[in-house]
Amino acid sequence: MSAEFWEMGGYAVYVWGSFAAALIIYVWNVVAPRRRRRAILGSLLETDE
Amino acid sequence: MSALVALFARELKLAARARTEWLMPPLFFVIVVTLFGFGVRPNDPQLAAFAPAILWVGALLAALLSLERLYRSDQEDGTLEQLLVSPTSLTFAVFIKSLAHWLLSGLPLVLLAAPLAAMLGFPSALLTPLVVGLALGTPCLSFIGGFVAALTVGLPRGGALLPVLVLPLIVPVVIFGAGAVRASGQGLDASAPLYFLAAILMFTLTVLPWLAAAALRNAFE
Amino acid sequence: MNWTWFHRLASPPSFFRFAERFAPWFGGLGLLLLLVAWYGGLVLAPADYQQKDAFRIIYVHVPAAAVSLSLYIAMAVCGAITLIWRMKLAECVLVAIAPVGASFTALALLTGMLWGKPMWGAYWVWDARLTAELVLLFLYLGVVGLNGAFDDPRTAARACGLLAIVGAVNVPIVHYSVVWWNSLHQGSTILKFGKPNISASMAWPLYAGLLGTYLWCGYAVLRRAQNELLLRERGTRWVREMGTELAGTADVC
Repeated sequence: MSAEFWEMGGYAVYVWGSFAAALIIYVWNVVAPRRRRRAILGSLLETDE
Repeated sequence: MSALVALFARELKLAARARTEWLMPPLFFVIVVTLFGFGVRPNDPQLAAFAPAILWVGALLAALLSLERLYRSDQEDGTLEQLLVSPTSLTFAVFIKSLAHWLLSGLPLVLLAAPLAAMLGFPSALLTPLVVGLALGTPCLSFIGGFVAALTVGLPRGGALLPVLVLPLIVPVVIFGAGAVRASGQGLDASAPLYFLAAILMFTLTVLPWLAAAALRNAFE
Repeated sequence: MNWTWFHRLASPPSFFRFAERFAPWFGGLGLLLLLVAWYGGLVLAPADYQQKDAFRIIYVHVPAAAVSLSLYIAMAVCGAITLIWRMKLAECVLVAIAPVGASFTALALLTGMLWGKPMWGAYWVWDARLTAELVLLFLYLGVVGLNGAFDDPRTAARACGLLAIVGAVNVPIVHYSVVWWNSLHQGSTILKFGKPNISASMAWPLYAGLLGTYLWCGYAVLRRAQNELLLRERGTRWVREMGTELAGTADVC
């Protein structure tokens, strides 16, 4: 990738800031329920034994 | 009907006994408003421009102060359960309680607004839209707040949750209330925002007691 | 009309199985579309002649704002179903939507601010859409907080349903009150962007991003609703069976 691409015509902070924030939110929305499920399944198995 | 009158009389009687309860919100209101006066440089003319916002926010915070207790003490001494099982309509009981709340903590604020506005250097020509707006807006706060108090009744962290839930719901009331003052300040007709406020008031009076009753029934099921 | 399919789907075990089968498709297709959309938006789309490269924020801002509103409507509908028919599935979906919606509302606000600074010269203007979105965020957070405060999940969900419905009435009132509020001081310096004539190379990544984000949210809501179902139905036979069945595959899904 060229330096020009990363500069975004001088708007790098705004454009990359937005996309970074979006990445965090999108990833969190998948990771959080998966972690919760693992915890719930763990507690279900504990009470079974 | 007589049960509702009795409930109303009981609310006032209880308030008369616990004087701090109904003296606190007006006192709080006065302190908040005067603190704004200390926050700027002495006799700053800017203060008059912000007076409607200061008075409205002060009134909101003062009303919030007493909302948490709206159902809490009734829940603690079992009155709320009695209301739930009694043949009297719970919706009307909720209406009466919110009305009593407005009389005790909303009406004093409306009456205090004029002298406090004078302290802030507020032009007296704009006093009418300010006081009429507060008279229409503070009952909205009591009824919206009553609904949220019913939602959070009996919750250990209800006190912290209440303001968070109430504030987004009263944004339109503040916009129209402070907007009426600004409109007449710019020489425009203040009646349009006041009519909007009246419409919001009618809506809250009719719909929210019904929803608050549903919230109370849900909490005690 | 035959409603048996609906009743069958609404029963917790069959909804759980349905979600188990379709959630990976939502997530996978969503990821694919989002990758294509971001590549298209960041690399392929030409810079706007007026906004230059800053316009690329549209590819994260518009999908986030769209789902934040759609999810709120869905949440309020679930609230109504919860209160009227006391359907357990609607409760779970209602509670599942709130954190997802809150996160995307926060994203829409944040990207809107980052877009506003270079374009309007200010991070924040008190215009109708921004204010309504902010109130929406408070309402979502209120639902999350209210849900967390109750011990009994069913009581919590019904309280949240009531709040969601009142909030759904509130948001349009906020929107129009601010429109009116801003119209008071005429000649405001807020730049209003009309519907721009967007060229095809700029438009398709936006549509791909919108669809991808909806699917992504579908994945998140399905998974969260599944979690709620497991918690509410713990102790029943299907949860015990499902628990042992899933325990082996927990790392794969």
